[in-house]
Amino acid sequence: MRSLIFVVAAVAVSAAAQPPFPHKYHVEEEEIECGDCHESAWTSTMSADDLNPDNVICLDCHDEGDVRLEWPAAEREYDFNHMQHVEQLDLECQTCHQGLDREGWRTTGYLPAMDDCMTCHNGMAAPRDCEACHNTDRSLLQPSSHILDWTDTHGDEVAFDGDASCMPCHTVTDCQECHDGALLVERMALGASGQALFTAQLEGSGNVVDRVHGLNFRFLHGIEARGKSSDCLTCHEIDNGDFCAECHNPAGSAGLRPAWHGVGNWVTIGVGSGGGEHAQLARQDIETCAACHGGTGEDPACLLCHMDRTPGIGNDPRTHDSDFADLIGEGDFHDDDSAMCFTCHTQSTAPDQFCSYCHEAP
Amino acid sequence: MRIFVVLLASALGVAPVLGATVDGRVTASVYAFEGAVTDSTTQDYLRSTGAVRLQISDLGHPGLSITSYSQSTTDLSKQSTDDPSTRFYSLFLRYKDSRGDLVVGRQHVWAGVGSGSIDGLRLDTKRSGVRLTLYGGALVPVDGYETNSLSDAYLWGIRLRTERLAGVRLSLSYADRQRDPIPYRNAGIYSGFTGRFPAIRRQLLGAEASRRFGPHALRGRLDYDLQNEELRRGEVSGRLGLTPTLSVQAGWRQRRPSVFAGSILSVFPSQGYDELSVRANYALSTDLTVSVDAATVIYDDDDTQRLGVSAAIGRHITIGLRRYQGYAGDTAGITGSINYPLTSSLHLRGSLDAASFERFAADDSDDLLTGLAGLTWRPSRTFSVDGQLQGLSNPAYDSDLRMLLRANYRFRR
Repeated sequence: MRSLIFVVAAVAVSAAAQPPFPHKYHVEEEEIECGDCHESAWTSTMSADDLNPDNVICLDCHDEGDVRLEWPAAEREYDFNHMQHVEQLDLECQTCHQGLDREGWRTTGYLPAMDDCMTCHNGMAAPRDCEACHNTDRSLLQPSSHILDWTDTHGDEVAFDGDASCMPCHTVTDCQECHDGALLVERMALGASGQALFTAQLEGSGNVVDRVHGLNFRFLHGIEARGKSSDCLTCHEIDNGDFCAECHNPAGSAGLRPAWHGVGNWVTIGVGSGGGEHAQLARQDIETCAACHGGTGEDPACLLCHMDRTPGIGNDPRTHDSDFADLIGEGDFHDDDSAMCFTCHTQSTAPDQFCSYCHEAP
Repeated sequence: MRIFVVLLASALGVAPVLGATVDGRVTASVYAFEGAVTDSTTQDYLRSTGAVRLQISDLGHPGLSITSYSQSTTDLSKQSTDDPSTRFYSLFLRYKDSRGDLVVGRQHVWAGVGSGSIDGLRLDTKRSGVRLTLYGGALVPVDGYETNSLSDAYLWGIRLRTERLAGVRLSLSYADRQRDPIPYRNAGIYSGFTGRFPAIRRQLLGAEASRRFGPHALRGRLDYDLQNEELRRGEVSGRLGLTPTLSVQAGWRQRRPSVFAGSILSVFPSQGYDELSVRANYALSTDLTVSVDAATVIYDDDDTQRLGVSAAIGRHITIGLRRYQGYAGDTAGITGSINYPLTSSLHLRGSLDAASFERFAADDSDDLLTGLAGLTWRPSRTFSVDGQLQGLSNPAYDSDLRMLLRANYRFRR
């Protein structure tokens, strides 16, 4: 009973706040055309125009005092040219104002949602740029969720909801500006002096400073990479280390060798020594090693020690996991003399002994 | 690729005859800055960049269109050997109707475990509530502007998506990706090896699932490496919408290092890492939203922590604190940004970041300071101009002042 009273009260308050106007009755029963009352819609070019009917129109049928004549005009934050849509494009009112003829009361429920606009404003039938309708700067149109650390969190949002919620405002081009390594053009041109540049993005990201990484990112990227605040691989192709090696190439600049290489027990030699700190670091975070030593086109520094100089004896630094042979199985080294295995297991030493790791001698 | 450039030029030429629509943006910018050649020497740059986005629609058929997005850059003060460089990020012909969507040309693909830029084709179609994405082509060169051959580098894959299983958004994907490494220019200094390593290849199988329960959500992802026969990535996360103004999110992620078959580093034993993270968002009022996040990344024999607090004051101001500690290195920083409309056509944009950081295995810390201040002027909805001053201070520069000017024009014919 209490709930019923609450619902009745809520409806009463709502009805008082929104002047009652039965569109359905006027359209269906009286067969009045939209333009009979909203004639100014045919000449309106601004969304701010008040398209409510003039009092005189109501008084054609109603007596003064029988009807409420003052309708508050809604505030608009975007541009809309009714004349262009109705007069030039010859669209029916119901195309956008769906459900109008079934509306019992005057509410804003029949006003078109943005999704309705995007049916035509898809970049083909009509422009889909924000500026086509909104007169506010695009960066101020973004949802509240985009304001905080959106660069770090938007991946989760897409994973939860899919990309459907992005598409009203964004195109694939917007994604590409960051996720396709758009900075690569600049990075390649500048080489090792590469900066986190302010690129000529298309106002697409809505970021205040229009770039992905901070201008001092060069000094923090190692910390962020190891701290996994984001996955570098999402945008940068680092599978083979070449992306990092553009700058972190030890052969190109000996000065880039970190000071902590070579100190203390960086390398320990001897069976059972475990290899020292470098081996531990490689086991726990080989991506950090790959940043400098993973570049292709030359021998990696690992080969300085990790060479199979005396095959079969097993006193060279341990390189593979114990199940490595099972994993590679029928590898390409069986019939390809240029297989990667032969960079360490050099054929010039003793190919038959390399084979003897798995095959018994005849 | 040249074929598509010719096609684009032809489409622009015949667009008026066919009654096609040309939708585009042109952006031009000039950026003056000082670049560090080494830690002790710098060089002045005055770089210009042009970006053009074009979409030519209704090319004789309502569903036929060409889309292009390209950037070109050069240095106006000192020409480098690569200047001017131009890159087409996308340039594709598209046909879309009720049966599906066919895209041919240079494009970026996001399809579960498969992602990357390809010169190839992609087909999207939906039948009985199941959406199928099929794609394949040559991977676009990372360091060049021409086209790869399929034998040098390729990516192909398939993805199936549906929401028909009890409201669960389910995705299954497979991707096969291969890129030839750079061949040896000289004989290896240790191995004497010449030639090239075998192609770096990955074959991944992925599954993703997510489900909304009103304000709550749950999701998971698994990527499986078919070559190494191991789980490459696993993720589970959930979000609770406790009240309309308070939400809490927690997640776990496990990932193997991104060293794939064909790289010499793939033969060494290595471990992945686990990450546990939590995040809370709380809207204290319509003008103040606060977000707190914390995470720990657990390596084989070490760990690192992240902590962040940020606040949005109204829609125009954000401030944040960020802290890293542990294996990654130590850093603490504060950031602030403003995006404020002075008038309907004039916007103030700016940010100020200050941080102190200590590199991995280093004993002393350094300071960073970054400041930006700029104005955006939009005299009309089709044209805008940005001007920005940037100031940097870091271990390489005591002070570095930079300047950017950018103009942006949108058109539709």
